Amino acid sequence: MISRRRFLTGVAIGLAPIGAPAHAQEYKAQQKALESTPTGTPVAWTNPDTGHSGTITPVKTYQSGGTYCREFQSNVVIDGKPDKAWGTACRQPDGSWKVQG
Amino acid sequence: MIARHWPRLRRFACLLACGLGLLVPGGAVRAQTAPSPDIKGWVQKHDVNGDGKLDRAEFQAAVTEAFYFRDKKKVGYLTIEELRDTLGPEILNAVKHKDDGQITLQEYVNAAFRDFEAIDTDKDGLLTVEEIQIYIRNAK
Repeated sequence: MISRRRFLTGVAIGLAPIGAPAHAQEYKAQQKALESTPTGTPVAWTNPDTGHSGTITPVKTYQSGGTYCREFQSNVVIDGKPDKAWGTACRQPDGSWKVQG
Repeated sequence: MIARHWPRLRRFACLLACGLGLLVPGGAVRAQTAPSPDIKGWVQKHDVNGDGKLDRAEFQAAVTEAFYFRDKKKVGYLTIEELRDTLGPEILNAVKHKDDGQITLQEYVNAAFRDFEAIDTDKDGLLTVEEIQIYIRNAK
């Protein structure tokens, strides 16, 4: 069983269990950061319902089998406590970004 | 070997277009008209290990990202049309390997690394801000 804090961190970076919806603002920020934000530039998000906030920052861009992938860093503040995580997402044919692993 | 026969200005133009084009996502920088590119800022941005220099991996990552932002349709390659406004026909011919109207990431990176080798005058495998500035100054 995962803790609520770990679960929310996972949601923030797109690592939530399959079927668990990420909050719209988080998802939107993640997609924006990965699609159109240069390396090193953070995209902020805030969840007005929970007060949670964070940033997603692309850190590296590469191709894997002709598919674009980007590594990113996620900083989240949950219940006033900062947390940090890293991940990799790859661009899907429909233009969305899917977190790997 | 090719770099030796490539005029300096063309290599410089490729650096700006392939690498420093990243300064403006979408590749708005024009090699021939960029007055004073922010070399220091560009190096700092991609200097992952913070040593003040760009190694080959950092340089490749920077060039790959430039490629990504130039690929507006996100198809995984660039077309001659997408680069025509930034790179002149002579540079395009030097960058592309096959005459299929497309430029792959590998071709793009290879072209950029010809710049890397030319800029890296002390051959330590690292690009400093000063080396890039000297290269640009000499190319003008």
